[in-house]
Amino acid sequence: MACWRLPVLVSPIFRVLYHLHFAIAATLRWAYRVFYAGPLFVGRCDSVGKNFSLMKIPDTPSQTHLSFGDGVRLQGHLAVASGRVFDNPEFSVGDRVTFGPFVFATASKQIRIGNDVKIGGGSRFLDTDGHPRDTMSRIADDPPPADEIKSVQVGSNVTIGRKSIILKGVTIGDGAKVGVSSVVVANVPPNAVVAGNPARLVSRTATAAPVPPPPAPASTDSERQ
Amino acid sequence: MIEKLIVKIKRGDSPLFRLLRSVAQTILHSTMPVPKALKPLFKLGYRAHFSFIWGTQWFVTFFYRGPIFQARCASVGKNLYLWLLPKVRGPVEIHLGDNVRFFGENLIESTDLCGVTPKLIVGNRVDLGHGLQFLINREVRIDDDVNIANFVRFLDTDDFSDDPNESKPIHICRYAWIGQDSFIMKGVTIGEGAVIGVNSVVTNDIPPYCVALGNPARVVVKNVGGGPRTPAEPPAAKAD
Repeated sequence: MACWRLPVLVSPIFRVLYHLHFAIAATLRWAYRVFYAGPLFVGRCDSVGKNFSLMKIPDTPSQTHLSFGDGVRLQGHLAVASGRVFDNPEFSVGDRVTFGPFVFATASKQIRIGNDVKIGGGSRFLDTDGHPRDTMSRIADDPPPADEIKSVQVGSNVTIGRKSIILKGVTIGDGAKVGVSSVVVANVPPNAVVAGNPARLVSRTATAAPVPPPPAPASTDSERQ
Repeated sequence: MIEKLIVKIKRGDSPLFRLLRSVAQTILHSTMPVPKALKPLFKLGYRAHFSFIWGTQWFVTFFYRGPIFQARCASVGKNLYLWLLPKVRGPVEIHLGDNVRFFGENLIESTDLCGVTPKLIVGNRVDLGHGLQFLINREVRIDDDVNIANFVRFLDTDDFSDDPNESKPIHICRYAWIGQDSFIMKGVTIGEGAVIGVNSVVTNDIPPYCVALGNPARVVVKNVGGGPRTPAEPPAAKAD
C-alpha cells in the first residue's frame, strides 16, 4: 500500500503525533503493570524487594515459593512450574537481577539465583528432566523419582546468554559467563566462560584470578560430569 | 526535539537531567507497594486472573477448537486432549490414535509437491508439547507412548522442493522421549525407547534404548531406562 505523501509544512505535527502514539501506548502499559500486574504478582510471592518491575504477569501456577530481591526487573514473560514431587519448591532470586523475555524455569526442588545476574531472553532453568528415566514408569506417566531432581544454583555477577538451557544439578560460579544457546550440563567454575551444546570451557573472564597452570589439558573433560 | 531531550535525560548531562533520570527510573522500574495485610487479597486476585483466562480457554476449546480440529483430521481416536488450536496448512492427512494430548499451539505445514499426500500419523497415548513444528512433504509417523517436549521441530524436507528424493519420511518408534528445542531432520528413524537431549539436532538414525544429544546428535549412553524389553501387555490409559 502506498503511503500518502506528507507536505513538508505539516510534517512536524505528524512527528509529534508519532511520539504521542507511543507515549500513550507506553502509559497504558505502565498503568497496567504498576496498578494491576505488579500488585497481583507481589501478592503471589513470598517476598519481593524494593524497585521490583515487570511487564507481564508471570505465570506460576504451582506451589512454588517465590522470592525476589531489590531492583529485580522482569522484561517480559516469566514462567515457573514445579511438578508434583516436592511440597515446598523454592525459586529465589537475589538483588539487581534482570530477566529477559520468555524465561522458563522448572523448580521442582530449588533454583537459586545470586545478585547482579543478567539472564538473556528464552533461557530455561530445569532442575528435573520432567519425566523419569525408566522407560516403563515414563510411559505410565509417573513423576520423576526424587533422586533424579537436583537443585540449580547460579552465583553472583553471572551473565547467561540468550536461549541457554541450565540443566539439573548445575552450579554456576560467581562471575561466570554462559554463551548464547548453550546447554549447561555440568558445574561452571567461577569466572569461566562456557559455550556450546553441551557447554565447554572456552576462556576465562578478564577479572578472573590467575589460573593455576597444571592440569590444564584435562580441564575441559573434567568440566563434564 | 523530543528525541534530543530524551537522550539528554538518559545521559544525565547536568544535575537537572540527572534528577529527571532518577525520577523516571523510579517511576518506570517500580510497582505499587502492597501492604502486608492486603497480600492475601492480591494473591486471590492473581489466582482469579489465571483462573479466568484458563476458564475461558477451556470453554472455547471444548465447544469450538476441539470440534473444528477433529473435523480437520482424517481419523481421531478416543479422549483427544487439546488446549489451543493447532495450525494446519496444506493437504496433510492427520491420523490421531487414542489418548493423544496436545499441550499447546502447534504448526503443521505440508505440501504435495512430491506427488503423494503428506501424512502425519500419531499413535496411542502420545504427548505433544507446546510450539511443535511439523514440515511434512511425505510422512511423519509417531508410534505409541512417545513423549515430545516443547518446541521440537520435525522437518522431513530441507525445503519445499518438488524433487521427490529431497523428502524422506521420519519415524519415531514407541517409548521414545524427545527433549526440548530439538530438530528431527529428514529420513531419521528414532529407535524404541531412545532419549534425545535438549537442543539436539538429529540428522542420523538413533538406535533403540540409548541417549543421544548435541549438534549433530551422537549417542552418549546405551541401554538407558532399563534396556529393551517387551511389556506383557500395553500399559493402561494414562491417569491425569
